[in-house]
Formats: sequence, structure tokens, C-alpha cells
Amino acid sequence: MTGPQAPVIRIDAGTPTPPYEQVRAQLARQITDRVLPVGTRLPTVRRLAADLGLAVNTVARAYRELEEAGLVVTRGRAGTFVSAGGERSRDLAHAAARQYAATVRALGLDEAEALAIVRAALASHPTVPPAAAG
Amino acid sequence: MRQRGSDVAVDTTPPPLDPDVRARVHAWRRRHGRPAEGLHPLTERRYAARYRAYRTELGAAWAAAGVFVAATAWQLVTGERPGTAATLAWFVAAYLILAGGSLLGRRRQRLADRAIAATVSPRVARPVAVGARELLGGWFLLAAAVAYPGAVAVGVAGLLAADRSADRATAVAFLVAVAFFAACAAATLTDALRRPAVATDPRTLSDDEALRREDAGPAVAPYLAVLALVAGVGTTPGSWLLWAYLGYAAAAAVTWAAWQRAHRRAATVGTDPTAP
Repeated sequence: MTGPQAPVIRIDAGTPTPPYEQVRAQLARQITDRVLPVGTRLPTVRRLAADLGLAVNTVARAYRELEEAGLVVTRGRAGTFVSAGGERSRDLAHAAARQYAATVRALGLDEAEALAIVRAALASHPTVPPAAAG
Repeated sequence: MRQRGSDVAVDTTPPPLDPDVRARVHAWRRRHGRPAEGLHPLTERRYAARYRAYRTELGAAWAAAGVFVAATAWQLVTGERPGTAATLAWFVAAYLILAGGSLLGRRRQRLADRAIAATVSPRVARPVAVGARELLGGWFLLAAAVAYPGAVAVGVAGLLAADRSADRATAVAFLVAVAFFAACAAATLTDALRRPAVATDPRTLSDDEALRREDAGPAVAPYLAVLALVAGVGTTPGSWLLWAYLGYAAAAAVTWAAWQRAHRRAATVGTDPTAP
């Protein structure tokens, strides 16, 4: 996966978000968006740290949290791979959304109100810590 | 861009490129199918560092050639016979100038890359492991597989199976040269594959990968094919070993040329080299 169109991770030292969170969030998004398909091998912790100018522990923490969230799996010396956990999470979300849509239709709520309820529910549940998400 | 410190204004704008270097930078841009508006300043500076390293190596090559010519003239004037310690000293000096220039050029390039990397922000990297196959392409690996294991096979065969002791001695010299060039190639590849990326966006990351491919190129340059021809000259005429040297040289040259062609074509259309 090389060339101008291939996915990238960008670390900006000027933002208040800690670097490990920037790495974790971008990898998590690319995995859940299927930009990184299941089975893709991630770079080694050392390699990614060197490329991004970060400490090895910073990238190791991001990988650890992704692993705890079930998005990646480490297979010993073979490396870290995108796991099927991201696909499963998306499937579960789709199933829940379908069930919610059926309930909304049965209750006769309009679409705008149904979406407003979802937004309010999301706002009342800030980002779930990765350790609790799995 | 000017940054003001406590009491001293520091200009961090890179110095403008020499016209000669700028012309080379634009030639590189055209070769790699990069946009007409020009290269990213980061890539410009990195390529300029490579061109300066190349000029250092070229200067050393001309100096070494001068020493070689002087040595030949000195031999003609003094009537000194080849193989004496004095004659050898001239050639050792020429070799040391050549090798020293190469090392100096590479070192300057590495230092320039490090200095540029220290100023880069934000940093961008690939979220996937990129191996030698993805980065360099199948033709490169094929050329390397023919160049080094092929040379070892021919050299070992000559050492173990040649009838004449002179042919075995030639095979030993050939194997020593193979070991030397393999060590140089390993160092070149290690640097090209393992050094950290220096990029601020997807465009400069793609440029970084193009520079890696170019920096890896000397690892499969057909030096050993030329040496095999030289070894063939020193081998018994008509022997199977002579044909082995010639066959190896032909195979190494063909796979190197195939890699060059794939590399140029990929660079022209702005894509990555692909498998054979």
C-alpha cells in the first residue's frame, strides 16, 4: 500500500490531543471505515514511532488500547494485524440501528425526531473507554 | 518565514537552490510525473541533498580517474612494471579516493535528511507495514536474487570444480568481490528500507517512497556482471566456467535492465512499480 492515494496517519504536535490518542483514533477510524481491511498488518511499534517522530511507548499505548478494543490483534513476532472485531462492531451497530428504526416506525415518530433522540443518546454517552468497549 | 526569539531574529527559510540544482530538481519532478506546479519544498530540499551527494561522488570519481591516468603515465615514463609495490600504491590511492568520495557523499545525504526531518511538522506515516516487495517491486527483488545468489553459485562452482588452479584463484577473487558488493548492497538496502519517513502529507510521503526506491537502486547495479566478465577474461578459454561467468553476467544484466524499465515506467506514470 504505497502511492499518494494510500492511507496515512498524521500527527500534529500543535493540537491539544495527546499523540497516543491521535494514533489510536486515526487507526480506529480507518479500521472501522474499512480503509484498513481485516488482516492488514500494521507497522511495528518501533517503525511507526520512528516515522512519526514519537516515543516507542506512545505508539505502544495506542496499539494496546486498540487491542483492548478488539480492533487489532498481536500475533507474537508476526506483528499486529487488523482483527475482525471492527467488522463485528459495525455489524452489531447496524443490527441495533435496524431494531431502533423498526421501533420508531411502530411508534409513529417522524424521522427528524428519531434522529434527535439518537443524537441526544450519543451526547449523553461520551466516547466509551476502549477497555470497556470490547 | 521569520521567527523572533528573545532578542535575535532567526530566519528559518531554507536558502534558495542553485540554478543547477533547481534544474535537476525539475528534471526529477518531470521523470516522476509530479504536478506541473512543482515539487513540495520538502522534496526539493531532499532531492537537492541527493544531487549534492552525487556531485561529491562524481568529483571523487574524476579524482580517482586522474590518479589512475597519472599512475599509467608514471609507469610509462619510469618503466616501472605492473604488480610492484609502488604501482600498487597508486591504484590503492585511486580506490581509496573513490570509496572515500562515495562514503562522504552518502554521509552528507544522511546528515541532510536528518536535519530536514528535525524541522518537519506535522509528521505523516503509513498505517500499514510496507515490505521490500511493496516498496521496491518484484523486478527489484528478482534482480537482487539473480545478482547475489547467482554470483555466489558461479563463484563456488568455479572454486570447487575448476580443473586449473588459476581458474580456482580467479573464482576466489570473484567471491571476495561478491562478498564486498553484497555488504555494500545490504547497507544500502537497510538504509533505504528502515530509515524513518520524512513527510508532512500524502504527497511528500509518496515522494519519500520514490526517493527510497532511487536510493535502493545501487544495490542491484550490475557491478558484479562487469566483474564476471573480467573474471571470464581470466578463465581458461572455452571452459564451462567461462560460459558460467558469461551466462551469469547476461542474466544479471537482463534482470537489472528489466527492473530499470519497470522503475522508469512506474515513475513516469506516477504509480508504484509492480511485480514481474
